[in-house]
Amino acid sequence: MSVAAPELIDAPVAGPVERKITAPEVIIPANDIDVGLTATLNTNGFVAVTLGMGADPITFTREVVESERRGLPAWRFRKEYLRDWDAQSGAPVFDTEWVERQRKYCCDPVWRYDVEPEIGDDGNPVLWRSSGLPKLKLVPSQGGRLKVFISPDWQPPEIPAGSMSVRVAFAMGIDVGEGVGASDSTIQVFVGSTREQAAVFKDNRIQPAELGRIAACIARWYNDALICPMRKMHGITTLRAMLEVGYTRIWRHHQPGGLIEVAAQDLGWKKGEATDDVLFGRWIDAMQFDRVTLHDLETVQQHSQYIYDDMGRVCHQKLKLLPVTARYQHGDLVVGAAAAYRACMDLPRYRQTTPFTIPADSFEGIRRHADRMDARRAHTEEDW
Amino acid sequence: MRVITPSVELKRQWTARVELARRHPWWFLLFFVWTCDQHDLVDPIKPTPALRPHIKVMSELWHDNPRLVVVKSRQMLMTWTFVALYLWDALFHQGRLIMFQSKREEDAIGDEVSGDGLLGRAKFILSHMPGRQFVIPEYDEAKHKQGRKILFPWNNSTIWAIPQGAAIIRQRTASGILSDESAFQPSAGDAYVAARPCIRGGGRYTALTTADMADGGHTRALYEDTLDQGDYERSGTRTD
Repeated sequence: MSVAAPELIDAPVAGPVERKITAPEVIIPANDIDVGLTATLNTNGFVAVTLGMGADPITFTREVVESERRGLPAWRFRKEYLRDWDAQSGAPVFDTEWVERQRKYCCDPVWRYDVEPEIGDDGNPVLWRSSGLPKLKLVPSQGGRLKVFISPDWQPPEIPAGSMSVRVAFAMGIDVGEGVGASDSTIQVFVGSTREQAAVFKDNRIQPAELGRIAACIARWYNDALICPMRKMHGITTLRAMLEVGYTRIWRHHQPGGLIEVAAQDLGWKKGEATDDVLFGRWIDAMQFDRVTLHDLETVQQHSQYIYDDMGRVCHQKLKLLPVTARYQHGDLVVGAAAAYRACMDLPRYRQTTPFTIPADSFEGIRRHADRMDARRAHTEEDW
Repeated sequence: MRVITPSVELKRQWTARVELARRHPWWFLLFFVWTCDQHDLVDPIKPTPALRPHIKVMSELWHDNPRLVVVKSRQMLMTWTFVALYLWDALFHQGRLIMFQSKREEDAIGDEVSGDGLLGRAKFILSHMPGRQFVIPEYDEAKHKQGRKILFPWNNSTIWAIPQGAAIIRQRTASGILSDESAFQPSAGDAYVAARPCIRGGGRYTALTTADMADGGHTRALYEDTLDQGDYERSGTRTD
């Protein structure tokens, strides 16, 4: 039924017609670029309409379509313009080109370190007074688990040699595994300013609490690095272990406004890992636009193992060619790197408030020391 | 001989156009809807290209089929078209509660100045409507255009911008819901379930989207008619 225009209307066009859909119908036919417009009545009562580029040949000329096809990754074009629901299923999250670009920066570690308990002058292990746990220290070791590419006393090249030295800020990401020989527990250290990989630690036999103590030891060595640990599952154990040994420079969701946060519930990354756009999405961007530099070959290789699943989520690829033990170690280094990158980005919000240290042999130092001694003497006399 | 002054002639013309627009939304698109094309550097504000076949067909389909799921390519002008169609519904019918739903509330509200978002587009159309005094003489921008809503008190209609999810839809009886990029809304399935009474009661529901599975496959199931097979994640919540 056409709704005719009255005589006075200056619109010499055919009016609209009735289009009650009862059977599948091709309303605008396809052209050589794409389908046009089709409509089908579903049993659920909805009319399913497919609107392709062929329905609007004025906008979608051959040149425009070709330009878009060239300007997008293949699966993205199929999804955005050809309405392919499964386009990204199985597609790699990290483009081969991005991974290859990082491979050029890969090198052997400059040093290898491992941890061992600190021994006091009396030959006994030094303990933390707060928790009674042994203090750890990093020692050079040939097969050490900590691969170091940049040392904590590294100086940026823009600083003239010999003129002064700066204390470089580092950021650290931790992915926590169960420690039963399956999934890896990983620690990634990045230079805050250049986003360059400084060190990497990996072990799949380490208990979450032990990992926390080692992480605190490494973070202290790296100029009190800001740590962004994963909180899910065993992550909370790792977090508490770090707090037990007095390490509080930990990434948190909300800034507590100048107070030192010691409650574990607000610390660490508590959302998803690979599926969280705010964490992993940023890391994908960083890889795509070359904002990071990776030196560890294994970290770079693990990026190839991430694919999109049927629902468009980021997931690990199940590689049948890999041994079963290797399958469970997929991508943990990547999650650690993503967390470290997140900490890098938030570093300016976590300014370190180190108290000004007065040299002991200065006049002020001697005066303060005398005051302290007086106070102690007075206190002792009162007790007596 | 009878002489018709231009003003009288113009008034008759606009009155006739309003009468046509009242009968079918495509006339409304043709005569009264101007859009903002951010890509056009020379002349961004222009009449909607209602004469293009796909826009005309879509307005006919929307008019005669209250429940639509539209899977489209990018850049088809469909968001502007459907916003205008629902605006037509609110302008020319009594007692309509139209909900514009998007992933985030900010996207649903948008920005009137640049014609962005869903409600922003509707406000832009109202602000730039030629002959508005003939269509809605009662309309007062200062009074009827609010942050999240546009009110049409003379015919008891409202357009409301809402974020994704079921909460708002469940508490109200909407007469029309436009779910923009529904496949990108993780809670699209929940919103659909909450809107079922409205849909069953004859209300309009339009799911407009490009292909994606962020909603756990709900929009795809709606489109491919496999809702009853339950082969998608109904909650749509992404988990690790």
